[in-house]
Amino acid sequence: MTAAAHDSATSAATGTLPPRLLEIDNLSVAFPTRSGPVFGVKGVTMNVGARERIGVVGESGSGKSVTALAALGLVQAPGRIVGGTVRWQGRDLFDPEVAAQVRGREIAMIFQDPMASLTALMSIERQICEVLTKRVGMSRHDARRRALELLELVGIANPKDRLKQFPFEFSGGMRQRVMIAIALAAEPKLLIADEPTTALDVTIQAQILALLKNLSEELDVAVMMITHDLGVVAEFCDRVQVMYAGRIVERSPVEPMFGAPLHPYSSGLISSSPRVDVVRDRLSSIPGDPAPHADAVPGCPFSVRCPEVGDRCRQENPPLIEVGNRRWVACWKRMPGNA
Amino acid sequence: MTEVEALLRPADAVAESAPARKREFFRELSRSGTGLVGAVFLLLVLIAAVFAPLLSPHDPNAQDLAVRLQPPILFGGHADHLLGTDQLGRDLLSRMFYGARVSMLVAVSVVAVAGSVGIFLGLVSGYFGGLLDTIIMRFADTQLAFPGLLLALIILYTIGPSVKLLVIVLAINGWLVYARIVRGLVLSVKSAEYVEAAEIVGAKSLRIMTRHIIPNIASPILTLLVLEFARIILAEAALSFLGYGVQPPQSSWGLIIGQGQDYLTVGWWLVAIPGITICLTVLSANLLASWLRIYADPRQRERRFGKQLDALMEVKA
Amino acid sequence: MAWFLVKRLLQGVLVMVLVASAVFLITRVVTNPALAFLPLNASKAQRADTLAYLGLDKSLLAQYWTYLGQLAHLDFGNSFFIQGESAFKIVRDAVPATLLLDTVAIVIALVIAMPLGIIAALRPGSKLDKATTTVSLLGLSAPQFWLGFMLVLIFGVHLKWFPTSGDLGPTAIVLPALALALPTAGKIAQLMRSAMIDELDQPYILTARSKGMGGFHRIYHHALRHCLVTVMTQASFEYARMLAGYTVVVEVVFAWPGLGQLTVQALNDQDLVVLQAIVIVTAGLIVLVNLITDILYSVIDPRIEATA
Repeated sequence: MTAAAHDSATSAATGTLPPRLLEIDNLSVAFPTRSGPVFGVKGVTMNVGARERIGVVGESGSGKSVTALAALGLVQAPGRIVGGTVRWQGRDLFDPEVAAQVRGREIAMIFQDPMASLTALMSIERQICEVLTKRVGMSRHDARRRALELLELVGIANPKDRLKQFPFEFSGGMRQRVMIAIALAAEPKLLIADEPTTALDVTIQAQILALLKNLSEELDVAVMMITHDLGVVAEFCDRVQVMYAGRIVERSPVEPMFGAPLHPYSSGLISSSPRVDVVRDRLSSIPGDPAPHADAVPGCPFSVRCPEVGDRCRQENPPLIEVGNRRWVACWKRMPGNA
Repeated sequence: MTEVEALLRPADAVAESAPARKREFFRELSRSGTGLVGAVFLLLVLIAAVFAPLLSPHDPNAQDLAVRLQPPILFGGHADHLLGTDQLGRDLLSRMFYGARVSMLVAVSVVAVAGSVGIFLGLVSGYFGGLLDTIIMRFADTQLAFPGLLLALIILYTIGPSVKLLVIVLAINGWLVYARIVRGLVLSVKSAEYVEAAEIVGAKSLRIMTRHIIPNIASPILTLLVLEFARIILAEAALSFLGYGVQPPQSSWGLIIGQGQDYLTVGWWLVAIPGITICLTVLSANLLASWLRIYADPRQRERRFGKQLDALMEVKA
Repeated sequence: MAWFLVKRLLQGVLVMVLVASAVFLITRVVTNPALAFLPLNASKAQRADTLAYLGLDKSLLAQYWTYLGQLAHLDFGNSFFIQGESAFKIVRDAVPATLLLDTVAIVIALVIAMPLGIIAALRPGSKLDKATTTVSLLGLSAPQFWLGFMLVLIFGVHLKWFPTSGDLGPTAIVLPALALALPTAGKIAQLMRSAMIDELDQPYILTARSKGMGGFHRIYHHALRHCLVTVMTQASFEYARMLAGYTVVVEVVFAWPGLGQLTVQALNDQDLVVLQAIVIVTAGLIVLVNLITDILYSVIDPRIEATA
């Protein structure tokens, strides 16, 4: 076990926290519509420590991607950040100068569809090197050497020949590896991965996750894994935040959550995952549709679909409260001292 | 309602609330700024064209050599001839009104003829595909390389120019734009899920076409019609300018320029004014088309709305 | 790649044959050839001679065959007006002037339009965008010949900056090229703007933003190439359209000694032979332009070569 992995495991087990890198505090993002502002993200607080692998899980539209984009100041107009703060190693990430410095160099991001997220008509050499030559100030020669290193690191054969090629000349899994190489070029401390395996075959998925795990440990990089796939979370993450309708509804280290989920939504998610080891006639699912946005209903956004819903749930939105062992939940039915 | 019928809803909704959609259309247009300006100007030109005999202060062909080459009123002319006169003393304003008549007539006719043929062929080609599609598209491809204006000139020259022939020639020149674009639109809509659903349920082709495909491509087609209208005005002006379009004693804006070109230095208004009018008319059509394009695409519409609102909005967490 | 070019060339030849046939139909079948090919005041003897010369006394199919054969040898017949001169030679001599004018015009158009379109795309909906869009729309709405006259009036007559007609000195090309270029520039600017706006919306631009690459860098290094195919298609189309007709009106206004001027002259001289030659040669030029465009496509977008 590498030092980094050991650190992570120790922290998770003993409860000592690794030094904090990214601190998102009470973040809210809203989009203007004809019927008024709609909150894609509301009151979200999360932290990522050095070398941690945290997961952000939720259905489409739960606000998980927007949270990450907002942290980097990449939310596209007309959406805008309307509350909260984001700090990176103590610096205010909303300050455009800080953000410009941090993007690509200290925090990097990889996206879901590598075919669409890579520049089709630019060689991958240029795509890897541009951060190095234009922002880090490396010479083209040095940058090229680093690019070759990176391609080897992510497991691409014949890196010398491949450098001059274009994204369409790579297969899906290879393209995602290229994206990872690009992201890691300037040695960031945090890698945000927005559904990196969703567009890939299951076997390739496993390879990419293993790659990310290795790289995270070897290179001392924290990873924020955004996904809707609980399997990915179980495989990859140390801690997880569950998001629903723009809010965090549960936060917990991974093992305890899968063993005994606190929030009814988390339980629903876990039990609706198809399992190969259990024979069932019907897949269980959570009835109803995901809430369209944070304020769609008064009270808890999940109340419309919750099997345990009570009166208070329908009227008041439960706050996110720590219930012991670094586990947090936002549910009236799980309040300490509540039935 | 069965689940399948529910699936068919999106396009059904389009067809059903047609009167409500019309009202919304005009409401959006009136709020649009440049789109409205374009629409209004075009309307004015059309009115001028239709009511030319009533609006013209003089007979467009009445010559009066005593007042030849009089400048427009703002440049030292006479209230009698607001836009001045040409080398034969004919009133420019009246000639402009009658010219509007012919130019509009040609443009509308060509768009109607070329549009009907082109849209029909595009629909058929896109929806049924197969050999018919290949033939039509090959034909369209080769016609791309035809030197359009030159061929038009030769035809008009050898047969003899007339308004009827002009319309035919311009229509033959112009049908393929409609066919191509409509075909493209049909192809993209055809692969949408609600059309697949309709086919599975067993709806007949004609019904699918009229209830599902056409309503969804109506807006881009309307935009295309307006753009083509603009293009035909320019083409007719060029041909008339060269002397092979509209013939005297009828007038058209291009013809007026052609007749006035020798007097450029002494009678600049004979060239400037018809030209500005052509320019403004075509500009109006383009403004209207730009607005239509945005209106037709709900995503663009919402984005525009979002931007407008974003600037004004105060959002509290 | 080579196979692709050969295919396109063959297509081009087919197109030429079609155009030539269309011309044949128009001049021999649709109209009375006797009337069309002769000046109005021809004598009876001249008529008989010409009919025999043109082979109009033979069957239609035979005529068609002879016609195609002659064309294959670049024999378009002799001009009526200038007795004995090969029509092909007359047309060929006028081609360079037109090509020069059109090429300068398209270059000016691209130089104006591309930056304009990019600037407008930077902040869609802003005042700058609205201003550039209005200017573009104004430009593309103006009839080229009228624009020519206005340019002549303002810059040639009143300001006396440029000559207004005739000789081929370097300044003489400015006004006519501008008259052709401005409407085209308007179209291309609009296209560039919308292509760029679409590109800037794409996921790969988000990736570039997340890497901290600046706005100009994203536009110039990432997005621009993707817009080029669309813009080039339009530019080539505009060039072909210039060749196919709009040069005619501009050359007339400026008395520019190219194909357009020749066309009008031939019309006045009732020289149908020369007119025929002009149309067919122009079709050939257009085919060539399309071919060159195809080659340029594969240079800009390596994906095209891979699949063609």
